[in-house]
Amino acid sequence: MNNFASLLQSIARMSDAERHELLVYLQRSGDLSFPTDSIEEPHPAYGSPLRHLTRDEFFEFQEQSAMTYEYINGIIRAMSGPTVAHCLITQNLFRVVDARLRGGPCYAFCTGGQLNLTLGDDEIVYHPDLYVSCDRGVWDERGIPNPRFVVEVLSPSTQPIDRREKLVNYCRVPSLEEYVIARQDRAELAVYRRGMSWSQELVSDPAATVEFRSLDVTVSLASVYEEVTFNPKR
Amino acid sequence: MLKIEEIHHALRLLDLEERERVAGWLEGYQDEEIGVPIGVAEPSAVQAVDPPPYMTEEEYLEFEENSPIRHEYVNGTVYAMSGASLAHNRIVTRLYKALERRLRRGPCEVFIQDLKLKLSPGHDKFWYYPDLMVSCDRSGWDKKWITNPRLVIEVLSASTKHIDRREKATTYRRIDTIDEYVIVAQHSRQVTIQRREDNWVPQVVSGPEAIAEFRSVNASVPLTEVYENIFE
Repeated sequence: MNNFASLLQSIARMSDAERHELLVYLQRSGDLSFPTDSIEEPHPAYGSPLRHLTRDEFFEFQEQSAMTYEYINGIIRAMSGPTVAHCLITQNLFRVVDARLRGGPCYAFCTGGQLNLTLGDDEIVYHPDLYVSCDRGVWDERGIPNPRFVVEVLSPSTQPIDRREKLVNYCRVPSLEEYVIARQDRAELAVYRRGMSWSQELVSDPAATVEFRSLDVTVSLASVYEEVTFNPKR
Repeated sequence: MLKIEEIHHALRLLDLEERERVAGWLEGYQDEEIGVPIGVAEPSAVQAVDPPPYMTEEEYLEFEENSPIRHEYVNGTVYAMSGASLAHNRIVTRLYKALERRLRRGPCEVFIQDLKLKLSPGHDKFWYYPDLMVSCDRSGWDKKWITNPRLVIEVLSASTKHIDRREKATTYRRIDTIDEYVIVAQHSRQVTIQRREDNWVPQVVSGPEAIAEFRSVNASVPLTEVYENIFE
């Protein structure tokens, strides 16, 4: 067994308190740049980042933090930075959607802002890549509760969340009419619509167009993926 | 087993990438896949048949009948399950034995791994394969699945931890029969119990003396029993 393996095995047997101490030791030992997928140093008031936070505590935590986090029923997760392809897809979509919505009651968000959702007993804060809300009366400092249209661009790390958990939770939002999942490893959009009992329309023909009925917008797949170079490894 | 000073020394010898892996792991849920040499690494999901991305429930059940590997179903989305690690399997087996022994004389039955759980909260449709379930009411038992567990236990793996901690935690609390949801760490002695009666606020159980109380079925199991010989 090599040193690294025996080290990990020893850590695996430590108590939580010992691990926390070890983490502090590691953080103090310098030049660690923390991976974006994990949680940065939490505000001391919150102790371990694993602590279950109420939604109020979460908002307070997020305010003190330089990063953005998702929240679902007490659990928080830091968002990682997007890839170039991810940005291109989001921005291509935003341009079309925003141009169409100008002058109307609806507003498209693609950077910043967040959805603050209460679904039955479930409390959720998500940061979709693109979303549209049409009723400004209920917008709030803590986020927007009433999206009509949401797009998530898939990344390897969020794929099961976007395809499973978010499909369920977005479809539970009463105001939501359409949920779109965009792949970044190839040109493919999956559109889920309330009017079709949330069944899936898959669009992958490069010559095809896709209709966002809730916004009365039609886009070509080619324009959504304009300038995107596909990385075969993803 | 290394002493703390030895661990510090070993950490200083690591290169930056390795230190980040350890730090990320310590910060996460202690279940990050970092190649801890206890148990066998989980194989990636090998899909014998590439399922179409969207299916009705009927299509899913038929597809499952003919598939060599298991899939979960979430509102039309079909997801292949990867095989479990050795440690995962051993923990599940220990939990099964522990619960089975304690519940043998009562009406409750412990179900393990290969049984489907069908859930339909609101308009949503889920078909899951929980690691362990306890159900005490035969009216919710079908030939190939059950619908009414009281207790559900998932042993975490790196590949499913987001699903277990986020999606399933959210789904299970929407099911009236489920009173308790338990997440069991694979790489450390730690059990997280969420109970309806506590408004699902998690109780984290860890430490050498700790006992996991499965209150929904009135059974208590010491962690030494859950993790017996796992880390040796």
